[in-house]
Amino acid sequence: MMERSRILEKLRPEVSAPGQSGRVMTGYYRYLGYREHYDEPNRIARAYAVRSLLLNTYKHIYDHDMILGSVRGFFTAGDDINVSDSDVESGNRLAASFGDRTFGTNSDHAAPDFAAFLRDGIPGTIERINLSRENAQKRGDATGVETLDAMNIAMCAFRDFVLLYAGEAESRAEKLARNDPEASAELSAAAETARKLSLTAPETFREALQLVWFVYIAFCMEGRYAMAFGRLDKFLDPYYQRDRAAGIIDYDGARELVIAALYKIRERRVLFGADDVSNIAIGGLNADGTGGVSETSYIILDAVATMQIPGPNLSLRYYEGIPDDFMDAALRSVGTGLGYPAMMNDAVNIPALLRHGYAKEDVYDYCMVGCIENFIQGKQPPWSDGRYNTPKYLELALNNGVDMLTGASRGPATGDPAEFGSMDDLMDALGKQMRFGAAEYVACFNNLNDGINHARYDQPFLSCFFDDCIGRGRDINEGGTVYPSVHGAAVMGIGTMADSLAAIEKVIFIDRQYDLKTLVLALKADFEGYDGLRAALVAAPKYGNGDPLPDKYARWFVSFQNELFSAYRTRDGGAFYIGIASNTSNIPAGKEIAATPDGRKAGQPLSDAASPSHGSDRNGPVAALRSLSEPDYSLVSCGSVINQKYSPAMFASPAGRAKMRELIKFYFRKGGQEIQINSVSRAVLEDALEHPEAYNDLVVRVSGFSAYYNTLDDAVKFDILARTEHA
Amino acid sequence: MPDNAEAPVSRIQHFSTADGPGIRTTVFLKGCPMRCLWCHNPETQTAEPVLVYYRRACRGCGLCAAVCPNGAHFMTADGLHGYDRSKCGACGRCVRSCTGNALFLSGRLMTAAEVFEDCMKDAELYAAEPGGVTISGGEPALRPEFTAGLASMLKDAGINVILDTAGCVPADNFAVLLPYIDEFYYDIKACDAAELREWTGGDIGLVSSNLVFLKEHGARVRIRVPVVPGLNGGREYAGRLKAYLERLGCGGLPVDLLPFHRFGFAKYEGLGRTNPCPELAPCPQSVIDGMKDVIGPARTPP
Ligand code: SF4
Ligand code: SF4
Repeated sequence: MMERSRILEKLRPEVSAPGQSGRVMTGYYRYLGYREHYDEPNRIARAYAVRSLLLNTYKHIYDHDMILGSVRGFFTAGDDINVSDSDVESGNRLAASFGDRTFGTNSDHAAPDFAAFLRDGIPGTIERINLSRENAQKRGDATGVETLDAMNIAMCAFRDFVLLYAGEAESRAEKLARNDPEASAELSAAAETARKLSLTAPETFREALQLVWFVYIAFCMEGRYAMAFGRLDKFLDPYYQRDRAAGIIDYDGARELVIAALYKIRERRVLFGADDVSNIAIGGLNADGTGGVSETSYIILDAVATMQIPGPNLSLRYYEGIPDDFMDAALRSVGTGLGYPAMMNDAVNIPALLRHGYAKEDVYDYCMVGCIENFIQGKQPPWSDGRYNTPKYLELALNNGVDMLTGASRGPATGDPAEFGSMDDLMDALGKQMRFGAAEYVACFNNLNDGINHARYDQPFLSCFFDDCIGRGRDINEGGTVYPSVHGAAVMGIGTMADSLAAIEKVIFIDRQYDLKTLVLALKADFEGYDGLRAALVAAPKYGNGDPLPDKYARWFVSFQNELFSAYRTRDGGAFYIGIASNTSNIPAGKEIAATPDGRKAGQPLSDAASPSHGSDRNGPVAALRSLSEPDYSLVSCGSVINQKYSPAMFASPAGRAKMRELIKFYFRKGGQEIQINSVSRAVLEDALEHPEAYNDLVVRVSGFSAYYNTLDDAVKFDILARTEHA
Repeated sequence: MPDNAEAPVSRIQHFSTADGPGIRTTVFLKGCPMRCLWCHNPETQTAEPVLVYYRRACRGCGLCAAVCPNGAHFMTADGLHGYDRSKCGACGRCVRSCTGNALFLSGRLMTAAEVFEDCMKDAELYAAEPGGVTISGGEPALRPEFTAGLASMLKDAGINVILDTAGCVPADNFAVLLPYIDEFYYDIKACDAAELREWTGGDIGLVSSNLVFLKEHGARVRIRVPVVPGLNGGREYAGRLKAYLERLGCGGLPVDLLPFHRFGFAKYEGLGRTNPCPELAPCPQSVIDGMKDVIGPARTPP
């Protein structure tokens, strides 16, 4: 585990080199495709644009490539240096006029059906396309014929893309033959692998991995982002087992290959200044009840832990009976400060997906796309999601539909809160506001999505990888897939809402210390002059401490959000899932919200994702996890995120990791959906020393007790820093 | 054993990770006969409840001033927060309203049954990664009724109980505790009467005789040494410790060497007390390793 990797040492400097940049050529090359086919049907023109893109973009080879394929082809290199800037610009403009799908309109965040593609390979897939085209012709399905023609163009272009890489690798190998025979031989082997893939389906681990990687790179070249690998361990392991039995590969060799591929995800950071989020799901149950942890799962986990880059977003699908030593390896990886893998609970996610009527065997092959979004691999159009800012609706319920910050009418008139005689009256008004908000949210999303004419925005290359676009002769977004598109509404602020409702019930309706009218005045005044009321609100029980009052509202929150969004359908009849994950959107979202009844001041961040509000879980991690598993997360089909931080010391020994493992199991037994564990790195501790205000919730766990980092004095902070170096 | 015996509890630490094997909960009681120069938990020394105020975490929100019945918290004209400890009655009301997690009340009076109930919340975890409850302090052996009451309830529930003691209490107390405690974590801070008195105010006669008493009555005992460089740190001191334990017939007991850290320092500030020994330096691992070497690796597990 995390042994030295030779390929990593060789590739790291090559991949990290800034290299050529400057002009982005992808738009120009698409244009070259379009301009030959202006008069043809749009989907055919699009296919030719993809073809031109795949063929013409520069094929970058690293001297130490074992797995070919790089996104450096985005940029100018070699021959195209002669194309003038104004040509590139006008080409870009023309290509752009054809339009593109975006994240909001189902373009990326998808996991292809790699299992099928590896089975058939490129030639087999082309064959399937042709066969299906014949059938479409026979039944007089003109759309089908045209769509399959487009797929055929794209898939043949992909084959040529692979061949061009082979050629480039060969010529680089030749150049290296004299000075670096070892690298040269390795490149020749890679070229040979690529050539073979143009002719047959993959037969070895290396071939399978190379084919997957070419597909991923081609998607990147198309401008897609957050394309997921899905259950990479599951579909690569048979190749690994076969090779191992034949004596042509071992654990270390496979790990080197995985690193040789995945390390290049870092190119995105080097060239574009941002990381890709390419999700890989390892482990997980199979539909036949067997556990999915294979030797390849260990290899992938090890590779990711060794690389130490944020690019591949590794998700571990936890299930009861998962091997302890696999969890131990996962926690070692977490303890490096990398934070991966995130842990996902099959016992929650599988029922969450089965609810939507997907076939059992498809559900058991679920994976994640992007950060945490649950996805049926290879059988759904790409994902989309949006943010639903729930505390805004409490603000509106407390102000008869009027925004407290702007005075604008934002929701229905649900009555003067001074007249609310009970918690039920308030909940009723809140329900109405939220229902209205959900309707508005869904209308906006569906308008955006319907604004696109699907027949004019074909995705011929992407469609080749999704069941059953080829068989049906339909584009991925035009009914090609087995299941319709789903949308995730990321409901923000569960902690803020649970705390606010609990505080209202406690202070206004149980203790009767203040009335609602005063509360509303205080909120509008941002608590200026209302310290006594604010103190009472802050003192009310908070979510994340195992306290029944706020926990009750968290439970309500989840089931109510699910009920709201379940009523809606996407344009092609798919479900609206709810998700409780918001990346860092809780910060900008908080800026738009007046003071809240939990004592939060106007403009402050909302609670983050599914976590309690910052610093309010004061009874330690177990009590927090107990609260966090209270809501029924099988209603949260999209997925959720909670973060907990521990010091690296927790992960340093097998005994410490065993404790963490049991804590995770406990949480998952209780019905937790997801947990991301952060081992707080030295860098974070240093930053927290400089910027204490940003780390109010940072708990350091050392010497068997924990403390809020900010409560420690500098001498102690330095002590911890000194220790962290060793851990 | 009575389960309504009360004791002032400083805090109950769930998922505690260094006070014994497995996943544990550590109960810190208040009140201690010793005053170690290096005390890690000075808030537990006195039995009376006390408010700890971490000035650096304070956000100046002023909510404490709004709730304090005694005016111990106040806001200055220029909006800064001030705290006058002499007015504080340690009622704890301000703690829950604090928006900065800057306030902490050490010393809630709880019955053994209440503490038991709180500990049992994590029973599932003690079983998963075999652990249990550690009763610490302060000096928990100072309250044999409460501690034995809590321990007997835990024992009946099948929960492992460790008692963390420095042994400086009347021998009778251990006689009461003996039947309910699975293992004693027994602090040896010095091995010489004068040193112990000077560094901790403790009486080595009591410490020695209670250790022998436990040993003779077949108790499971683990020696714990807080290692403070400049005082009891170093190879030479390790040799003396070893000889001391051998003299008592306790040469075969396992020894944990616990490096001194400065986590207690901020607490002195939080308590408004003067740190008796601000010059103490944290204990480097090399000192621990050297001492392990002398005492013997077999007896000083990692
Ligand atoms: S503990 Fe009670 S008396 Fe002391 S400052 Fe807080 S509210 Fe005032
Ligand atoms: S309530 Fe806490 S943060 Fe606010 S002024 Fe008092 S001590 Fe400071």
